[in-house]
Amino acid sequence: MCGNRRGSGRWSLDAVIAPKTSHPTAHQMNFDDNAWEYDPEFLRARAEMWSVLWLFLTSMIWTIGWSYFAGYQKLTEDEAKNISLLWGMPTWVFWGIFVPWITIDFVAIWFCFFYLQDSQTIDSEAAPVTSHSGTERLKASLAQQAKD
Amino acid sequence: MFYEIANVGGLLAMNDRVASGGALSVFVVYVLAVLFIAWLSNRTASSREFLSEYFLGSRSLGMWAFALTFAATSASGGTFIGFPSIVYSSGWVVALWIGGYMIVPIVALGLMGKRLNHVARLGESITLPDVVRDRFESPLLGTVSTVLIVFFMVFNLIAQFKSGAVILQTLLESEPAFHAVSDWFGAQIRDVSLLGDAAGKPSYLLCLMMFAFVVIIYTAYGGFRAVVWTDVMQGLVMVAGVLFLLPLTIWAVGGLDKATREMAEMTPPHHVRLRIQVAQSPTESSVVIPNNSWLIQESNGVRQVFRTKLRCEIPLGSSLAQCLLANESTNEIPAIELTYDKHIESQAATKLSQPVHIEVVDRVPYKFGANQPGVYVTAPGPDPEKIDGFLPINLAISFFLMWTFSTAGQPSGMVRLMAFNNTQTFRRAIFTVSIYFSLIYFPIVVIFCCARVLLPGWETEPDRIMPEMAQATSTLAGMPWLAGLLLAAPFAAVMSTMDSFLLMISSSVVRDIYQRNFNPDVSETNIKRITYATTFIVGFCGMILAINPSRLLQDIIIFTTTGLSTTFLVAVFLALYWPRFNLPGVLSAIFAGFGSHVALYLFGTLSHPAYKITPFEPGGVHPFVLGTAISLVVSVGVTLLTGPPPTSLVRKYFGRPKPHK
Repeated sequence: MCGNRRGSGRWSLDAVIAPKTSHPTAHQMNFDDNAWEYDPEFLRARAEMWSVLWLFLTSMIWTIGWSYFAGYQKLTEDEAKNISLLWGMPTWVFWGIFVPWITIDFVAIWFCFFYLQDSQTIDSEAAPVTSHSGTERLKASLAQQAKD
Repeated sequence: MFYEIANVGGLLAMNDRVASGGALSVFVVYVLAVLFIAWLSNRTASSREFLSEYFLGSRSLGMWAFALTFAATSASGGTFIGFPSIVYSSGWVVALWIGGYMIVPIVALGLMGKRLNHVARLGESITLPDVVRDRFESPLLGTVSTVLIVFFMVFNLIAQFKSGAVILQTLLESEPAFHAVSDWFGAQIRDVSLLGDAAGKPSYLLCLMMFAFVVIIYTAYGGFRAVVWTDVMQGLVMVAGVLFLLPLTIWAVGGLDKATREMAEMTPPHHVRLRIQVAQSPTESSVVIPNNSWLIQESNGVRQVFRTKLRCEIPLGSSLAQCLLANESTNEIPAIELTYDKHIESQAATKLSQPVHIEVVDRVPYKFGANQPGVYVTAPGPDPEKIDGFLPINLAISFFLMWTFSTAGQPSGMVRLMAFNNTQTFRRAIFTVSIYFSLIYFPIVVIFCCARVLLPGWETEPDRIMPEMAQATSTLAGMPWLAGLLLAAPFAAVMSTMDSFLLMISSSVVRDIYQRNFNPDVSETNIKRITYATTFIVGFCGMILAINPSRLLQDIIIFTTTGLSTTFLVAVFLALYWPRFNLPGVLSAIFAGFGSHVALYLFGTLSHPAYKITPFEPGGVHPFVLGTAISLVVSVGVTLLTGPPPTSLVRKYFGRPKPHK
């Protein structure tokens, strides 16, 4: 797979980790078949995965933590009559669920449009397959697997 | 959303009142639209490589298609029937119960999306078994994944067929034309012994056939692209329904502030059994007391308000009401008794042909929250059966984890992640799904909290609250057509979930079993014929099995919905991100996830006094959470104890050639 892609210029476009100025183009690169390194696209995707998990953990701690300390309570009759509300919701729902929910929608803007990076592999193959080449390639890959 | 419709009878109530012809129009317009979409998809597909187009839309999904197909597939009929009834019964705490959905779009799409799409492209994979098979170069792994997916999906498919047929039945029940056709059909099939009990239910059978016909045709003919485009339409119908209902409800209740203040003073009703008597036995015709009748009794200045759960009748020559409970006649009528003063004072009685005398035989207060003001606006919320309330904190954590990661682990979602066309689409889609879920789930909580104030006493049949609210608010607003649109939402939800299941099973059979194992050199024309035939046959078999569905089906579905996520989440996640992950590791992830899921359900079922299919939940931890944790620990352990994977594979999926310095 790697060998097939050597001439496509795909590797040359990726500059996720290496500084853009020092990244060589495909024609400048001189590959050694046996030497390899982690694909920067994989490393970047893994970093993004960790960010997703951190976001999840933050939202869970906020929601569950706030609700636990502010929402789990037994009200007296007077407290129930004079319950404090924000925007028509009990305050613990407002701060513990509504606000983090809206915040995450804003975080989604940052995450999607400013943090997630493009993937050259995905974007360079974006054009839909217009011939029977998919089946041909599959056959070739199965034949190769059988040979191996 | 992974719980199913327990009782779609609620739709019946709504349909009774939708203007005649309205329901039929909704259905006809709907069917024409999906068939048109299938035709359009097939035309688009003709110039593309067949399998990749048919099962994956040639990896060319644009932003709206990708976002809405993901959202619509994950919302099932339960989102519009079961979820509202839970909000109505338990109040504001349900916002915490569903809170995990705030982060679902980022986790379900962002956790594995880019990497899965990348890896699927590297391996030329079309299906999920394709991905794991290629990633580890193991036909065994491909076959195991295929078998497990088909195993879980078949149950789901039958259940979805049944739900769709029942919804369609309730949709068409009040149409005279449908009755005429159904009667004629009933006469034709009366003596067909093969049909069993179904021969006595011609309207169900007719609706099953119509629903199956439409879904099978558009899925088989149009493939993935048709499924996705219909999902877009269905997703829009769902969000439109909620967005109409939200302002109408807040307006009808006089503001959310007012509704919540009133909820804060409410106390849960008692569940009671009543002996209902008349002074004189009826002589001309029996006295019928419909279900959900309000019965009021005042003695010594005390006013008691009851609402019946079942239809009962005082027969000729008798003075006592009786009803059918679990196929047995009883004089103890199940009902609820209101305990909130304001509702007790304002509620009017249902008019009956004779005054009745009521005696409370048995009174069961809620196990948590009885006579306790504020219980509907605080956690853990009232519960009729559990002494620690609806949502103790351990369950809240468990549900937060469960919603988020079980959505990420659904193979039907993963297939969609393999299909987006570029990273720009992916980014926009995560944002769109975030907004979409925010517009659906939190507003449903608000709407059905208000419903407690607008329509009290539906603890008798909480599954009816969605149609009742739709009817009440659209009547108040003078827009009866809106009820038709709202009726379409659960129908759309079922359709958009089941078409994906049908295609998943079909792709597993054609690609993962036939082409991969038996005939890799199959020609394009033949694979086309085989694919159409398989989708059709799988759909047809699903329909046949749904003719007389087992009573256990509803229970089994609970077992299968999170089963797929428990089985595949860890396996796929580690396959994408851990270069050291090897074949024994991935097999142990799959088997440990599947095994622990089955074991927890088996243990729970055997411990249940009536052997009802229920999971064992130690410490209130959802079986998905426990099963996934076991799968993670076992697979990491097995991987570290066995040898590393071949370098060629690691290099192919994680590496790139190193340039000379």
